[in-house]
Amino acid sequence: MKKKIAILMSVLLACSPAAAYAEEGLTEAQKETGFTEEVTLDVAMMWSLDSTTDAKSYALNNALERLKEDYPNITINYDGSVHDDYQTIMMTYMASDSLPDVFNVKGSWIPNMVANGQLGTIDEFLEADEEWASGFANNILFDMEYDGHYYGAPFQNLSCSLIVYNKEIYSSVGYDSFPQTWDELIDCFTKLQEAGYVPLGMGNSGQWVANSCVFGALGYRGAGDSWYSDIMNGTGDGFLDANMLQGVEKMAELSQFMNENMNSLDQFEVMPPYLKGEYASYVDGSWTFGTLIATADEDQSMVEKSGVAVFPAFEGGLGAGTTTPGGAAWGQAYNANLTGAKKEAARIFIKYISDEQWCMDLAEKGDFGGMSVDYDYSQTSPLVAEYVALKQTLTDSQQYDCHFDTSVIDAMNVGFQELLLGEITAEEWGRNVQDEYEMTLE
Amino acid sequence: MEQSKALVPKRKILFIYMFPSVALFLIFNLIPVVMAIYYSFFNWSGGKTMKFIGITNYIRLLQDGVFGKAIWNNLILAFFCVVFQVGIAFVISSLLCTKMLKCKAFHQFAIFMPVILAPVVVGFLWKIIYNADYGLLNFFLRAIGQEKLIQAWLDNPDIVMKAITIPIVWQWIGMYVVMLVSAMKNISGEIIESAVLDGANGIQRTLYITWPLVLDTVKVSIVLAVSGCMKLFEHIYIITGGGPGNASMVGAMYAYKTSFIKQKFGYGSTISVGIMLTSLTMVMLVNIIFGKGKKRYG
Amino acid sequence: MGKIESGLKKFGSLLVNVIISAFSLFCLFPVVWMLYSSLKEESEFKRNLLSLPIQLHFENYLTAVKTGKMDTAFVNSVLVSVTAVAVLLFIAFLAGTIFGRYVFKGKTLLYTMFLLGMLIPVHSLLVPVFIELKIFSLNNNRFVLALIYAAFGLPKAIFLMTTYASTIPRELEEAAIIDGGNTHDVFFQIFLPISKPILSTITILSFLDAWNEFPFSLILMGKPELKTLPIALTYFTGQYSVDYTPMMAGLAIATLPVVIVYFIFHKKIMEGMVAGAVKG
Repeated sequence: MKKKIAILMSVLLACSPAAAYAEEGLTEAQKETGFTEEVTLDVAMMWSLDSTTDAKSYALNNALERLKEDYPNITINYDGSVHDDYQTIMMTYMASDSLPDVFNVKGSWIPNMVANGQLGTIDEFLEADEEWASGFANNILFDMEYDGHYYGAPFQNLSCSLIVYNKEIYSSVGYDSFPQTWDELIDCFTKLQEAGYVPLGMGNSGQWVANSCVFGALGYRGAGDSWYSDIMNGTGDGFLDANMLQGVEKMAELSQFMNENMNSLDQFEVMPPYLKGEYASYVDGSWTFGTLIATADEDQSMVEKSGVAVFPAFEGGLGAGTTTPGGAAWGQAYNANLTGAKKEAARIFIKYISDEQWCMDLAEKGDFGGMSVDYDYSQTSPLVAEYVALKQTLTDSQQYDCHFDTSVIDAMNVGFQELLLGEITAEEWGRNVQDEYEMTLE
Repeated sequence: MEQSKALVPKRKILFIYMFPSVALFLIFNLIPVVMAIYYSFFNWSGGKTMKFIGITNYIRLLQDGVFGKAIWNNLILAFFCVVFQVGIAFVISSLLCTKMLKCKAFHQFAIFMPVILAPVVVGFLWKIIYNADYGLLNFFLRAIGQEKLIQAWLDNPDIVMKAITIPIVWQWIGMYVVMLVSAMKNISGEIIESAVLDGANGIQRTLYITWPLVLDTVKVSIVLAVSGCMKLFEHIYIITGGGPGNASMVGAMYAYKTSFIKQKFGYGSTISVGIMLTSLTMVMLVNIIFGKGKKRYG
Repeated sequence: MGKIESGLKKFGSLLVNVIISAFSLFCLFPVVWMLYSSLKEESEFKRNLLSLPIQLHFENYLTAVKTGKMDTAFVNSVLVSVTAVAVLLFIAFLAGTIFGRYVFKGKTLLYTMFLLGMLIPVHSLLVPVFIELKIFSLNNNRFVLALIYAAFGLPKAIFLMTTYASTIPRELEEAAIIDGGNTHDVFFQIFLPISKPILSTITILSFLDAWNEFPFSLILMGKPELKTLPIALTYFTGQYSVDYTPMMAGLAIATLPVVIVYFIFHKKIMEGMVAGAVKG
């Protein structure tokens, strides 16, 4: 009896879409939402469709395929470029008021685009589809929030400050686990340096790594929670805040343990010396794993010996050591000019490039989407599994360089290079950035 | 310039011949520049909201230390390019015109090769040459036992600008060699021969005959070199991005960063106007200096 | 005495030859390095940037063509660059010759205006040009991009053409007019053939500029089927990753044709230039 029902069910299931096509020519999804209008969307994003290694490219291709199956009425005109160039393209579009229909938005772009009436809020999208919306944790939506509204659907979940370290080398100087206090960290780094290693590698030629991956953590450990909102509201001592500056001082202290050429290497060029055992550890974000594994190629032994940790807290600082600056940083956004069918199509497309399936596709390639999904990362690498476990124990702190004014971020980045070279002190750094910050407040 | 009337074509024809150039220049150079100048008087972060602020941006520009540093770097760059680019090109060209040098065709071919390369190839290659750990330069210094000199070339603010000048000089030498060689080959053999008979040696011939006769070509080269250096962008963008800090910042890079990274399109335009004015002054200086030179050598 | 002197001379010329040869080889090295790197395996390249390939990985070229859509990009680059150079040569020849040979009202002003074009940092024009084109919906158009390249090449081309045209002997022009030729004949039968050398210089320089141009192509060619080579080459850099060896293969695909064309024509170009040097 059960068998018969099963057969009947499967026949019905197999027939029903076909039957539906025959009757109305509609797909299941179209029937469900009743959205059948022919719409074309212009889309510009920072991923190429043809990349063979980029996880986002893989997930995007799958998403486009799913969309085409479910909504043959939506045509996507996709224009892909790469991260740095995408910045130039989008700023030109933004300046000339000609943004495409759907695009990637960076957290720090949102205020300006909203002020110019260029960015549509996704609040209604989240309300209209609770099943999808509930997949996003509150902290992941944080980066997309401005003035009480959300302006982008998160498509990734980053941890921006992580230290990848070689467990064998660390235990050779007496540290079987990663140092838990700041003093231990300095002691460990001193011993590593004496043993002939570069204790902490960094590739800061792009200028943002020192800000995102080092200051993001140390600034928070110094300043705690309130400083961020002070900066956003224009209250407090700004960049002369003594607690925050402690973090900058710690950063200057770390520079003696870093590779001398930290400002001319990019974050990929740090990996070969780490894999050769010349660097005992390096600092980067959660995007590092895919590239590290690919760079190691056939010889994964060094990756398997690796552990992952975050900077410890320090005495006198207000922030906890069990945090990492993290969140979405970017989101899928749409043009405020869209109305009617185009807006509905944008809603559907944005869902397909941020939903659970999108996250599963990313997980398959060792990347992390905006929703947590059930995926066994140990099949990618034990290091990634260790990171996923670590992430459970951490809370996200604010990613400063996602929210502050873009010119303040640039002043911070430039200043950090000078600070790390010993050209300026933490206080001078603070004063320089404060000047730029005050200009934006006017 | 005296011209007999018969030789001057009809005004209408001149106008028709000139029209396409003027039209194209107007649409894609002049009008956009005027627009950029217009933006430079606004506080503009893109989009519809623009706020007229008069000459505030220009006052800020004059007080802006980074802009000063960037323009100073441009000037250093232009100086080195004129001295070494055109200078080395002149020496190589002179040698290419003597019997001393063998395989001339090969040298001419090889030296022009970097001119062909896209800036991204040149930038990428020199980044590797300067790399502190496995770069060619440090490898070479180690090989000749000069370990003391080994360092992270692009990380030292005092050295980075000099380090970045070398690839730029290197890439364009070929172009000036081609221009100068053709100018030198055009000096008639008779002049050289009579000089030889007068007992002039190679260096004397170069100084007193070749140099004055190719001076105009040298002037053209210098104008091209200076204007090229003042708006240089790609090499810096690829090799250092202006860093460390602002140590290798140049004008065009600063204008780009201000507009497209900091989203200050108004001030970014002001910087561009500042660069154009500086370049104009430089080119006029070259004209004055070499204008005098021309008279001296008759 | 004489022996020592000639010995010194020999040593001197040997030294000169060695130095110049070293310099020449150094100029060739990037191309050579690019070529052999394009055949290495990705991890091999990342571990040692300078070593020779252990095995030849020609598949990098297939990856390059696929990842960067290099085939489409190649066709686009050829179309845009050739159109740009053709337009530029024609109009710069006419304008430069007029500037070099005739006096008319407002000439200095007009000529100076063109020369000022050499001093514009291109990034300052991105937003204005984009706004201009948007008004007429002229972005995403190869021909418009070619016209922009021609416009950017104009100042340098007119500068070179003008200096050259001013050196053409007046007798040639007079002879043609006495023979009953009109302005059109004088330009295209007398000036044009004589100007070949400088036009070949302009061709090389402006072609290289158009072939390698990046920012305007990036902004204005917003459709995958319109991208040019420099844009295609960026697709090897992901947000958090770089594929170096396919990128090297891509660079080789973009560079080699120019090198080959140069290799074939360089003697002609040199001869041409020597025949009529750039004169002030």
